[in-house]
Amino acid sequence: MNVLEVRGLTKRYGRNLAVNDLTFSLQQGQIFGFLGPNGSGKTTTLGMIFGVIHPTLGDILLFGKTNREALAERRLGGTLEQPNLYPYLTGRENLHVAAAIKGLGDEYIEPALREVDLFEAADQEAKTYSLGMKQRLALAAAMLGDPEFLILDEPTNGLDPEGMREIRELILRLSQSGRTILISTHLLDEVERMCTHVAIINRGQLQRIGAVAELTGSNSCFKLSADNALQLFEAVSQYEFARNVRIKGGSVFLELVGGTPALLNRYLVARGIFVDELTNQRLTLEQAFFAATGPESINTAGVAS
Amino acid sequence: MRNALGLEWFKLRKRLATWGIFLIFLTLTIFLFGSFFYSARGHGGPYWGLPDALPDILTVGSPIASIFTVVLVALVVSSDFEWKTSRQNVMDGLSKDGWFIAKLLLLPALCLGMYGTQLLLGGTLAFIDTHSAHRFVNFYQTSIYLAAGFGVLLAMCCYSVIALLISIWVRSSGPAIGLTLIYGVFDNLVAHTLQGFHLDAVAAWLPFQVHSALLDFQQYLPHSTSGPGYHWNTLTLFLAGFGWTGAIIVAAHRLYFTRDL
Repeated sequence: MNVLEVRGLTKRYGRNLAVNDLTFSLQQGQIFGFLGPNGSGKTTTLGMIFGVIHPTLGDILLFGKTNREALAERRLGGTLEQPNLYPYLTGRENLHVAAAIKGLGDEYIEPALREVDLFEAADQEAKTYSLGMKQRLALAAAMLGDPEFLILDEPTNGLDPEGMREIRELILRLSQSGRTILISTHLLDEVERMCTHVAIINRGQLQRIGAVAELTGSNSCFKLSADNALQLFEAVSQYEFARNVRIKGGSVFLELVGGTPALLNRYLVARGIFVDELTNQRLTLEQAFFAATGPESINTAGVAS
Repeated sequence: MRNALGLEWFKLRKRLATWGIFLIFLTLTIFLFGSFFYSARGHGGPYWGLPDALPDILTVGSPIASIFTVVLVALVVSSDFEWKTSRQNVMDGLSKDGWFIAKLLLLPALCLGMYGTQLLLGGTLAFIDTHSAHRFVNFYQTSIYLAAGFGVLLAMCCYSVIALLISIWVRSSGPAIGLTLIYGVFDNLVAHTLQGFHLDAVAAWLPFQVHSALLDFQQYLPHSTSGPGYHWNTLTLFLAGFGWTGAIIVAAHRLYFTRDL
């Protein structure tokens, strides 16, 4: 069963289409990275999943139920945008409020504080916390009651490298217990390290979705070199299955769409070009992200579901 | 619901601003009743003992209690939007209905608390000043006092739901408090404008006019010639108070549910 199923989700603010016909699903145990530039519709989408933003169109199913039912059953937890805390309450009191709403006793608070390393600062007012501490407290509140599905909007925002590492390890630990986690973030490096699957959204539309390995294009990007780089570049540019051909540092880079490396080599040999190197090039997630969110991406990228 | 109200009380009592507002209210009320008490204790004023002091205790300090209650309501409700904790509450599993009802339950509790404090302070000072022209109140007088007490509470609830509506609308504590306080001025201006067009009967039924009439002890006396003069009787005034309170709650509920958090 899908943990989350989003179908045709659309949100319109007046003339502005914030989210446009979004369709995707999450399976149990996935750590799902939700990527997109600022204003791409990530938080609006997450807000609609949480039921705090009304969709204009579309359906959201959590565990096969409406989000209101899933929230009532405490199967979903998370944070949205900045940590939403009562600044005048201490860390412990903030967790008391969250626990009481979830129908939990205060005995859950101390382990949660220890988990995010805030036990020592538990009796300080939240307004005295650094942004990183607030993030950790919000995460502790989200984890209260062990929800099966966690949605974390920018969980490492404002954290120092050590704090980011701690959150990353915490998220990985949580996923090992079978939880499904959806993380929205700008930090592509973090996503590449943590996530099993990724969706890239831009201008409210889904650009790419799939396993991280698929999106980083391990099978389709190649580097070639030959004695005459310019001649190689011109030949490759005319090859019908080559895309995004570019020359850099005496080597030619391309993306193969539909063809195979063997066919490409045969094509070049037929033109009297003997390559010294033909290697598979793995894109970083950052490259995949910019390829999907570049100015022309709306027209060229297919919407996956 | 008890849990939700308990949480609201927890958040309220932990907040320094709550006690600051309460302290100012307490000081002003002590000054007010203290002045009656001081005058009565050999400074030329009339005696201020029980039961003769009851009309003053029941209604004279009520505008102060009413204003400080709505300031608290505006602060509590709008802060929940300002800090986005209302959104987080819903994400944590509190239904939107649950959030709204918790806030709604808080209003009469706050009104009771503030009005109760006013009665306690006034009652204590009047009890100390034992001089009174009358020793007992009869059943008829008791019914007038009870009606006045109920009317003041209704007036406070009516103004509180206006504060609730404004807070849900503007979602920021400063503007919410300001607009709630300005609302009284605005309502009075509209009433004066309507009176200028000889629509006095309409003007008298505006929410803040009903609120002010409910706070006036003369309103509860038989054959009263003071007060707005357009309220046929106390029961009709109560119905108007309930009507406005209900209508504003419906409007606040609708506004809360149709807007994104």
